Amino acid sequence: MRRLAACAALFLTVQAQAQIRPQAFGLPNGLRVVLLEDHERPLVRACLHLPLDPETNARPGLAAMALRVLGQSDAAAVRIGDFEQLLAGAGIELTPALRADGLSWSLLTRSRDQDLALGLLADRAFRSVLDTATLETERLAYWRETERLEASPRAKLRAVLEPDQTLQAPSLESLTTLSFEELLAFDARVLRPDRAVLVLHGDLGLEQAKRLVYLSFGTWTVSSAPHAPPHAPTTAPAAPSSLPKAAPAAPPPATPSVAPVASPQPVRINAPGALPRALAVALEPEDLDREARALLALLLPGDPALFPARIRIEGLDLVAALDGEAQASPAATEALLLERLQALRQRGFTEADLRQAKAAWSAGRALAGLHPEALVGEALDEARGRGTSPARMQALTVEGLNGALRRWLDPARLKAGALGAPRS
Amino acid sequence: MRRLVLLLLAALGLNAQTLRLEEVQERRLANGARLLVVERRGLAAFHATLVFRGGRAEESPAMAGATDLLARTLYGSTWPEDLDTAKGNGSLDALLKEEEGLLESLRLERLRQRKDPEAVSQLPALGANLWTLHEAVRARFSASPLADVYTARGGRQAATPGADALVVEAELPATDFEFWCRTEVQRLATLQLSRFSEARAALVAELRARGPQSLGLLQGAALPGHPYGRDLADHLPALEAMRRSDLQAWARTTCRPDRLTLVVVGGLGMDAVLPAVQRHFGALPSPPAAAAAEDPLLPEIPADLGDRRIQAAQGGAPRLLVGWRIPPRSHRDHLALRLAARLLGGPSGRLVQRLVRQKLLAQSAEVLMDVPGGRLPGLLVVDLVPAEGHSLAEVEGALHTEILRLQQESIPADEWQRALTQIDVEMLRTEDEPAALARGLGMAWVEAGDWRQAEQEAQRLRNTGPEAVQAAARIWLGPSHRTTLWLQAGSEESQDPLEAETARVLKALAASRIQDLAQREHLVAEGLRQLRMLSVEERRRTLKLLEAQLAPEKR
Repeated sequence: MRRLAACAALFLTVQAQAQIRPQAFGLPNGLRVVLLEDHERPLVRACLHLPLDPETNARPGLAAMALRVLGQSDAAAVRIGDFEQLLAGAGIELTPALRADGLSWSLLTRSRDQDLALGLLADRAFRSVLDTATLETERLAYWRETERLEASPRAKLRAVLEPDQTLQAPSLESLTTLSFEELLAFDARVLRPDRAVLVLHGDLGLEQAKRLVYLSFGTWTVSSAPHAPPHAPTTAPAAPSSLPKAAPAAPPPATPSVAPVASPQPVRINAPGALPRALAVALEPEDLDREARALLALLLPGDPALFPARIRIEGLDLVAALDGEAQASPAATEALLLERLQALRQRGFTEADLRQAKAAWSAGRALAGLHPEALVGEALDEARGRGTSPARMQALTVEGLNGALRRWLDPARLKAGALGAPRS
Repeated sequence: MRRLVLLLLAALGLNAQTLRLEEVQERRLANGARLLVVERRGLAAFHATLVFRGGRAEESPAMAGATDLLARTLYGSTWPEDLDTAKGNGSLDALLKEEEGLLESLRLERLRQRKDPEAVSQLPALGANLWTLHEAVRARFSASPLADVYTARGGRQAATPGADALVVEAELPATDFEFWCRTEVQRLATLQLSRFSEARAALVAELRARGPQSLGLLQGAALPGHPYGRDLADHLPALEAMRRSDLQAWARTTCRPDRLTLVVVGGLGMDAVLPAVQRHFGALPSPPAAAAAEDPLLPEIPADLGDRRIQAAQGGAPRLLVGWRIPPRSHRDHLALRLAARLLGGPSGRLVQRLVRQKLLAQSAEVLMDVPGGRLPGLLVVDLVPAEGHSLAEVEGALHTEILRLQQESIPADEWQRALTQIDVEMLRTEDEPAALARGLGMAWVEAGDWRQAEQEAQRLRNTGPEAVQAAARIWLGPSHRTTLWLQAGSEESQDPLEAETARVLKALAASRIQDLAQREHLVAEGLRQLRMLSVEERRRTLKLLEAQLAPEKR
């Protein structure tokens, strides 16, 4: 009896103090699952991540459109309205996201509703029923959103400079030529369990998690045929009459998703009355060392060499901005920004900078516990082989760091542009 | 044995319950500052939120933008040079005072040049002096990329200006708690504001680039003459004339300890937190008794404003925004209105389900509460984008039908339960995330006068019935509290150029004389209507006369 009491006390102490250790398992269909068990509060978080393929990356707007259509489609035998009522009735939050490296759904639910929540996530991921009517509705809504960019010169400049084709705002032509068959093909190519990673965090144990994941995702198969209603037309529909007419369809570009070439024409956004502002955007090189990336994210935003320009990291993009003086032209502002970036690239960082950044990175790891969603993100990165390792961080040299900086700020990789009043 | 198992299960169950008052520990320092601590064992870091009550609502017209500037200059970064004035050669403060004088001379010289363009300009000389001075100031700062003392320790900090408060959030490893206390107090004691001129220029540029905001237009019309209805873009001259010393003086009254609540959530208990907080924050000087007692005088929002309407043009899709003036968070009807907003808004709410999905009248529907704040009477806003082929009038009619239904028809049990569940999940989430919990406690103190309000609202929710929501909707969501904004799709560029220019000049003239946006809109519309009756030549002459009344920089 006394031993049992001691065990119970130890269990409670360990439960309160122990670090959350990831536990991994898989399903026969190839789905990889990571569990972060934490019973502090009756909540469960999940993130299902699916990487995009080169074919999707080569088609601007396809992934974004697919995610929109999936979000408005019926799932399994549940109509979209009922699907949303089921989510809302249990207070389940299901949020889609798209980044250059993949699409994902994040889920938050009370632990008492975890069965329902994971079932609905599975329905959305591989039992969505695509139909042409939803495609047309979303096509129009997407175009309206793109048009709304016109109202904000800053947002428009940022969108025009987006280096990753997956995330670029679609042109009218690419939007009107996007066919239902392409959506079905996307569904079959991307939404497959053998490429997916599911991270679970919160108030559920390992056995419970295995049972739940097996029940919800066990029937997901690699060769899943596109889910289309029997009456779905197989030809590409004409653009709806409410969309402006585009030029005849061109085949999708065969370029890779990242086309880091300096634009031949300067990007200029006309903004009468606005002060000049230059922007330069560079997508993270695919082979960039994760540790170097983590340190650059610490070092670049505060570097005084960039003054008065500012730099920040947005997703996979490095974004530098400079607000010019009233009398400066947009072109001069852009030239000054690029000059600052190249000066920084040439200068690089010192051993002392590297040492300080490593210390800051190590200390900052303690902060992850303050953000349950960051813990999920870290576990996901780890499972995808994109996590940062303390051992590799320790081994990173200043040459490695500066090499990464030079690659990221390579002039051929930077896309730059400016907004301001046109000069007569 | 069975009892032990039950005990064990009960202990595990307790862990899974929602926030309890006893989890929050409170202390009051002698100088008036409040401290709230929520310990999360097992965390090796802490989240700290400083909430300074005040915010944009307490800015006088001459200090419009002060909260935003303070967030950028005082809390934009944490550099050692800003914390210790004795560091380096000479005084940084003296250089910054010199900069203030030069900036003011430049501003006055620009005004003089506009009035008398023929006069010999001092601008180049003043500009050169300022450049040299800026170089001297910059030379005093560290050239290290990790000069920010929090970033160098793996931490981060952000400040958010709001209508009711300035909220500063920091996160650091638990071992740095004492360091954080010392740094924050040094910051408040020094009030260096070394990046004042850059921050002000950036804020002015942002406001100019932003153009009119739809929500800002609605606030201006619904809350005329009140700081909640103010659009900063209308106060650019005041912002440009603000000096560093003005902001320092304002910060001394706003960032007083009696207006501060400090919330710490993380791996530190009260035993670890209180001594360091007392040592550092406790050393901040107490405000004079008279200053601590006085409440800022804020203008009342007239209750008899009636049903107001305005129209404006902007790029993109047309939009309908309807705002109802609602009571502050401390009012007994506020919680019922929060539930009403929950029933109407969100993907499962009535507006999306009926107007977007069933009737296909709208593309999107969104409901916002407490715009721009909850300490004083604010707005409940519905934002609707009509679907293709449907007019703003149709959508507005459908919205009013839904409001009437909410007021008159009984609320189905499943819909009611759904709204309660969503709020329950929202509260659980807030409790789970240290940043959200700290902010929630701090804002409850600001908006309702007591941090316990966050917990008490959860209790009251369980005792609120659908009838209370309907009663509150009948009182507050009626035409007498309503303001409607129609945002037309056409831009002003599509107008006749002469009319567009006349409209611009009339708006600028009206902006300098009339604060009430609805009255201003009415005056401009009436003026344009009358001018259309004149010949083109007469209209041109009238335009010239009107332009002559404008300040030179606005012509």
